[in-house]
Amino acid sequence: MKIKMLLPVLALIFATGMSFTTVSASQNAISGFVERTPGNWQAVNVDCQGNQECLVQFAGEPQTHQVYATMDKSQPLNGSGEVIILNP
Amino acid sequence: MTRDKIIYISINYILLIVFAFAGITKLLEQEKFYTNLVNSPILELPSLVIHIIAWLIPTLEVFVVIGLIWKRFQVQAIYLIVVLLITYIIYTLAILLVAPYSPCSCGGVIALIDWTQHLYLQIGLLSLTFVEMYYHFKISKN
Repeated sequence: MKIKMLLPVLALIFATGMSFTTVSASQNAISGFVERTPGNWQAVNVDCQGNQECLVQFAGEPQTHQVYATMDKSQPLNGSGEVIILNP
Repeated sequence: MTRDKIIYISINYILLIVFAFAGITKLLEQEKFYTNLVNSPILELPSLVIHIIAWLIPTLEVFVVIGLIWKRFQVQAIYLIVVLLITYIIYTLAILLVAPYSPCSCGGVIALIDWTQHLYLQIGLLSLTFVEMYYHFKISKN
């Protein structure tokens, strides 16, 4: 009887642990940088895939920003061309 | 323990782990999940509705997990899995066939696979759920 309850709980603990590990690993991932205001670079975690520009827009702000691989404008990242909305 | 019961319990654990992982990851990365939905090329919905969906989906996934553990609610959990997986399959098909571009897939380890692989995974899980349903009623009858 005990094993009937214990095994699902162990499976749940396993899945919970896996979730926390995955989340903490993905939080450290920075995919690019944007120049939010002149000279002020901010790291962003966005999915840039495609052959066009990788553009982001912070919610509530009118301007869009190109995502760059480094904190200068030498390596713009390619994306879908669609503007990705981020929470500021 | 009969062969039927072993199959039933094994599928139960697979679904439990998949839905627990999916639900908890979405709750932990709630903001990211919301951002993915806001940027979805096929969900052109008001922000409030997206917020509700972003909470509703992981909550339902957690309910599935509770249902799978709690024997009394296993049938309801199985039906809920079928509804969720059919919804995901329709959404994935829309992304693949209708959307002008494919967005970022989703959070978790599953983010490593593309949308076509997502579709295969969902169809596989749905098939497993139907097998689970079959064995559930078969075991209940005996």
